[in-house]
Amino acid sequence: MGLAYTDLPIVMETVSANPATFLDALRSILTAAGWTSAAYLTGYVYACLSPQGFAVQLRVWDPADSNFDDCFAFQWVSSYDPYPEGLIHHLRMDAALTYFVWANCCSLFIARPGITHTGDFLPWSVFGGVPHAAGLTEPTPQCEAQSPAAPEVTTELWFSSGSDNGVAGFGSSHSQNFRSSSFCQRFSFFRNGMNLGGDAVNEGAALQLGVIRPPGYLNNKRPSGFESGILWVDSTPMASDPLISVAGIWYGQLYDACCLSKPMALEATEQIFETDGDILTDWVNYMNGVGFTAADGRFSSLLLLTGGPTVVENIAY
Amino acid sequence: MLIDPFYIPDAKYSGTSTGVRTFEYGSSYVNAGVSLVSLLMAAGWSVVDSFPSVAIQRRPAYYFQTNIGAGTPGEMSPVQCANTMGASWRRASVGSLIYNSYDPYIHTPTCPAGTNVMRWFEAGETTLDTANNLADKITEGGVFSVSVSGIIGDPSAGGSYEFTLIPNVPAFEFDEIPIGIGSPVGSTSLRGYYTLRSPSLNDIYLECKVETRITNNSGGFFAYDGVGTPKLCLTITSSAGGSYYMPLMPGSYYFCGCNYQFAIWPQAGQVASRNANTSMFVSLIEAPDGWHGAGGNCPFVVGANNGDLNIYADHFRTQLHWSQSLACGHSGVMDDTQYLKGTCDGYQTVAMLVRGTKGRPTVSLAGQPLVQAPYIVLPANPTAGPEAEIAGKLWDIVTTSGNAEIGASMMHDGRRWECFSTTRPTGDVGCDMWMLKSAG
Repeated sequence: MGLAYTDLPIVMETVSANPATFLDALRSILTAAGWTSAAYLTGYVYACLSPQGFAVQLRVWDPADSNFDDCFAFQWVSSYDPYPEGLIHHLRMDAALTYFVWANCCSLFIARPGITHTGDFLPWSVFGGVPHAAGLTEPTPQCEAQSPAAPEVTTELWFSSGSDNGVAGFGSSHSQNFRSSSFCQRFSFFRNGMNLGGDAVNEGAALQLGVIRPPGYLNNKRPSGFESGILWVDSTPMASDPLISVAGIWYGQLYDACCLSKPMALEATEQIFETDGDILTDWVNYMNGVGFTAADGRFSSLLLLTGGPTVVENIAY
Repeated sequence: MLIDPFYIPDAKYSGTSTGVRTFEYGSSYVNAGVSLVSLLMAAGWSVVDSFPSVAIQRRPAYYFQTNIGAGTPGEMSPVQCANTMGASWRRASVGSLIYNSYDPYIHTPTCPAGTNVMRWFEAGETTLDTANNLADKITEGGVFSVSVSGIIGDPSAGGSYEFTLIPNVPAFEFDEIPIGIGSPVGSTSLRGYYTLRSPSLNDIYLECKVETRITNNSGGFFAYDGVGTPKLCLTITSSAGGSYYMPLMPGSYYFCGCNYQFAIWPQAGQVASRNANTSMFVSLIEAPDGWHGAGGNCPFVVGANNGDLNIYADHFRTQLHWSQSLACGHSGVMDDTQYLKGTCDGYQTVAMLVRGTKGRPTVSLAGQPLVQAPYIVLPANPTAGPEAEIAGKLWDIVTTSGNAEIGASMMHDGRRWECFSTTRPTGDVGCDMWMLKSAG
């Protein structure tokens, strides 16, 4: 399939990680992206809707949890009563730091600029939203109980993840996620009222992007391969639709995103021009990392749309 | 700015596929060779060269009878005609035909009706004359043209005459006719070949030489005088340079070819042991339109030759990445790995590009694997040099994110496909490679 564009406003900003201002700054961004909000505990609960009509809610608040010092909590929840909840993902606050924030009408990606994770395993990234569902769809109306549907029909679809490993005191490792990998180890993934997420211990159970990769470069067999990425002879990488799967099933793809078969610096930008239709798009990279393990190679990026698609005339290239 | 970087999921159709065919390489390597030539021609390749096989045999000069120079010839005896005389009658054989000399001053070469099974040739005044008469007699048969060298070897020990037999038509069709002039006993003609050429693709073409050869045990070939079971041998060359050689082992095979590609793989299950039937894949990958194809067409061959001209375990069909017994390159030039294991490794490995999950197949909600484009990465030089790069798509092939059984069939894009290569899901990403099963 081709890329899934929302064709709706996209907002990208760098905001302070100051706990005193972060919630309002985020609310401003999400509102500009078309989300609605209401008060929730010490923060807000947001509602958003995908172009396919799938809804999800996001709670963001300060839990004042001593197990996760100086962290705000992010929790995606179903949009219908009784609001089945996804995992809580923490995000560290620090007035001296900033966060990169990207949002479209139904997705949110946040991360500390230039950082995948740090040695103290503090949580520096969180993201989630509604992907574009593959196959037959029948969105559940917001706030209504889900009605049964045939197994191949998608009535609800959303996900969330981040670098938070969920361990009090931040534990001894970070959780692989789309900031650091094409896999998410600790994630929520709701489809048709069922949570398929958890804390994956192997690739087969993880939430993963369908990045283009060569067999044989996995499982510590070829750790050194493709340091420059998987490139055409003219050094162009290959862009592809950001398919997502969980436990061996393809469910759809991320909106306003694409995968690129080369490693890029975090927040690096790129333009793509498609000669068929003279379409120009602008992108920013969210991911720099390895596969499910460090031995799985480093040849992918996850680009988020920042401009376009626009039709360009008389482009010189 | 990146120009047209997007993955295009469609298969690349040649429009000239033979579909999946079968051919037998059983007891007759000649029949197998003829079948393979025919299949390549059906795929659009044409014969551009051929060369007849050659047989060389030697026999000591003293074995050849000379005539007594005078006398009145009489009739052959029944014993002589029935071929029950001793070895001194200088027998030779080509296939079922037996040649004996006679002294024209003693006998006339006639026998009673129904008893003459001989092809008689005159004993000359010298042993060389007799040897030449034998050569002429065999040539009269119409299958081989025979010539005789002068004395070779130690003249004081009598020396030997060397007979060279060349079939009158190319190339290897008569290679299974046993020749019994002298030694080596039981040898046949061999090393005849047809060279078939693919249509040109952006001025580059591949050639496949189909040849009969006997390999020895030290990594070389016997020339024309080896004894043993000849093998059908394939040599792939690119018009821009480079070659790859692999003997084919007896077995029942599938073939699928088109103008720029062919594959041979066993009808039986996967091969796990050496010197069993095996597989070979040959492709001239077209450089894509636009900027990405700056390196031009990319030839690619993967087989199972293990370096001593025997067959290593078939690895083509049990994985979708290859690091040994292959040849490939950019700009039409094909560098081979000299058949050695492990000479290319790491990022020089040739690999299909896939999307899937390590350890398990990845399927749609309907249980179907994701059908993917057959993009392949090739190094410019598989024995040294920089990382492999995307060369383009293989012809008439798709990959899937599942793990079907080899030999499985599926319908996709209105066409039928057959699974002919797969990775094992344990420890690697699960994926299969499928060949267009129907012609067109």
